[in-house]
Amino acid sequence: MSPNGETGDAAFFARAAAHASRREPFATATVVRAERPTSAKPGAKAIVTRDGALYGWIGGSCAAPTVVREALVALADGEPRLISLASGPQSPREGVRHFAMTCHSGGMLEIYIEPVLPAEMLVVVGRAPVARALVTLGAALGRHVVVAEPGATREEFADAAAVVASVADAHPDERAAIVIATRGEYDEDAVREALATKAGYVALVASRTRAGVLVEALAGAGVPRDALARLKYPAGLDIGARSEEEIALSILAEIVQLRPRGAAADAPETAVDPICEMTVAITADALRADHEGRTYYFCAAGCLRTFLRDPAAALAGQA
Amino acid sequence: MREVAAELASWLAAGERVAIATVVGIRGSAPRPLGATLIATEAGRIAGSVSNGCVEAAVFEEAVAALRDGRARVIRYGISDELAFTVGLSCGGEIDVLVEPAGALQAAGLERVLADKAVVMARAVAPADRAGTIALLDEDGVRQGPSADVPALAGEAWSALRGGMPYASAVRVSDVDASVFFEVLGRAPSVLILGATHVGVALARLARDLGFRVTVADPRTSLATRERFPSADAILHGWPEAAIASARLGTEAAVVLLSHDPKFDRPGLVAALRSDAGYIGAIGSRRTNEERMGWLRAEGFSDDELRRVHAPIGLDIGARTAEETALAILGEIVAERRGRPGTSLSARAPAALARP
Repeated sequence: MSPNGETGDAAFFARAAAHASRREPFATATVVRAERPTSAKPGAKAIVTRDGALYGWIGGSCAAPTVVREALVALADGEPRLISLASGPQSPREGVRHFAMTCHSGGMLEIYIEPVLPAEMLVVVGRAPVARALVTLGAALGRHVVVAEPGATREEFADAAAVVASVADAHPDERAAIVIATRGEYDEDAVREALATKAGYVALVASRTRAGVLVEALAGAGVPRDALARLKYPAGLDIGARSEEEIALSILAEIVQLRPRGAAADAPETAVDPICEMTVAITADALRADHEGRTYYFCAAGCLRTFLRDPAAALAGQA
Repeated sequence: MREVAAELASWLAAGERVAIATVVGIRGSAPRPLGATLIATEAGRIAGSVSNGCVEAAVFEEAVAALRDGRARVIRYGISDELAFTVGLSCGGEIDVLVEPAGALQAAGLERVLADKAVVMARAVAPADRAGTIALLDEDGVRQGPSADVPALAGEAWSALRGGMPYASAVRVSDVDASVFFEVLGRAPSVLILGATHVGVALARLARDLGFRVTVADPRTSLATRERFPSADAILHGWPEAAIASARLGTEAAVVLLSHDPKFDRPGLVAALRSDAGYIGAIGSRRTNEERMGWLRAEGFSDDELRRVHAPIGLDIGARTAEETALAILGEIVAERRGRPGTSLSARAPAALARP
């Protein structure tokens, strides 16, 4: 059984859909090859959430802790990976990460782990024609477009996924891009607000001259220079854009090029199980025991029981 | 004038008298580009815009005056910081607007636009008593208008048409040194997508949003469907040569080969290189491209000719998805047409401000 009691493809797909609809990052783990004896068969799958909870079945305590740890690393770096778990020695293969399966069952598992991240957010400030073109083209590009504009309505921006009153209300993360296209109205406030977020791309649609004046005004008003250095102006790539749509195209191309990165989860802290010597991720529901002022972490209940029977002996390697 | 062509045609057909206002000069930054047009009738119908609302009311008054006295006029508008602030425009600009009653020459220009033919309108801006449209020249070399036979004017108009960019120039017309604005009304930019692939689907959608006329061609009828390409202007079930032959490609046209299959690629590239298309791009890796170039050289194409082929296709923005690839391709098409490098604009910000 899964530690969280969910098994079967239906539960897997339902959970994937639920996380995706809430824009929560998660990773999928799928057994793609097995050499018996193993408890998981090819096609077995599980979902790992960003807090390290595992739903599904991809092998028992021999495999699960490693899968959780690698899934969290995948969420942190955004890259899929293929891992191989075997109890015997493995000859390295390109593109495969090898791990020891320490529970002596003797089999081998290959598991494909893929991070599933929500579409990058594009926050558009303003209702000028360039802002409208950014919303339309950004949506066509598959971005999660949020219009941050006081008084704006969903009817006005049919292609936007959401309409909010301010940049902060959009909750942009590191992978988000913010484009300020207000044509001079309250753009100082919008730039200041955008620079206060974690967004990986903040740009102002304005001529070099006007943007320069605005930057100096903000610097004079106490916004630090290193914060202002994050502001891109004029926004976009130099493609000789003339129409509003072409300006939007040049900005979206720059966002794709810079591809703001950000971890969907923190790379996990790890500890070594003192019994089986497996590396386990320190997550909220990780098995643990305190002994003489130190916390030890375990891959599974079996190792924990062995430890608790005689901690001193276990640590001395006599368990 | 292209942006108001439909309204202008219907108003003229209804027998209304229409004034045309055109942005013929810009100093500083202006809300609308050179050639931006507003049309108005005495009854108060208005279409188009010369300043996104900043000076439209004043332009409308001039339009009515021009319709009453039948004379063209050029008015300079300063878009003050204060005014720009209240209407939300970029500040500090100044625009010159030519306002004139639409006559036979304007109707002739409109006719070309509606037939999707490139045409240049020569509009005299100074001296004031000579202001107004004085000639047109179309892509077939047909000239019309009172000054159409002035050789210098025809020469300038021709180079404006070839360059595809509006510009102003001093020309001696009827023993007077005139300042003339050459407004280029090109054919609508178009993209011919060869290969109804998944990148093609994304490209068709984005290109349409950008105002391109979109044609998709693929002999595989199961791929080139209306369902997959709902916004395409035309879907052709045919081979690349036939599609290119029927498309009448001019410099405003882009041909994009997306098939990944030499069976389609090779005849497509040969036909594209023999057309006047302003942009030719072909998808594929560097290695595919080397093979492709070797093959085209063997077909007798020179290195100069092969430089027209953009491959690997698109701006180098690290595109991953089909949509991002489509964006990279469209960015390259626009950059190529405008002769720009496609590098980041902010990279050229003044050092003092860029410093952390």
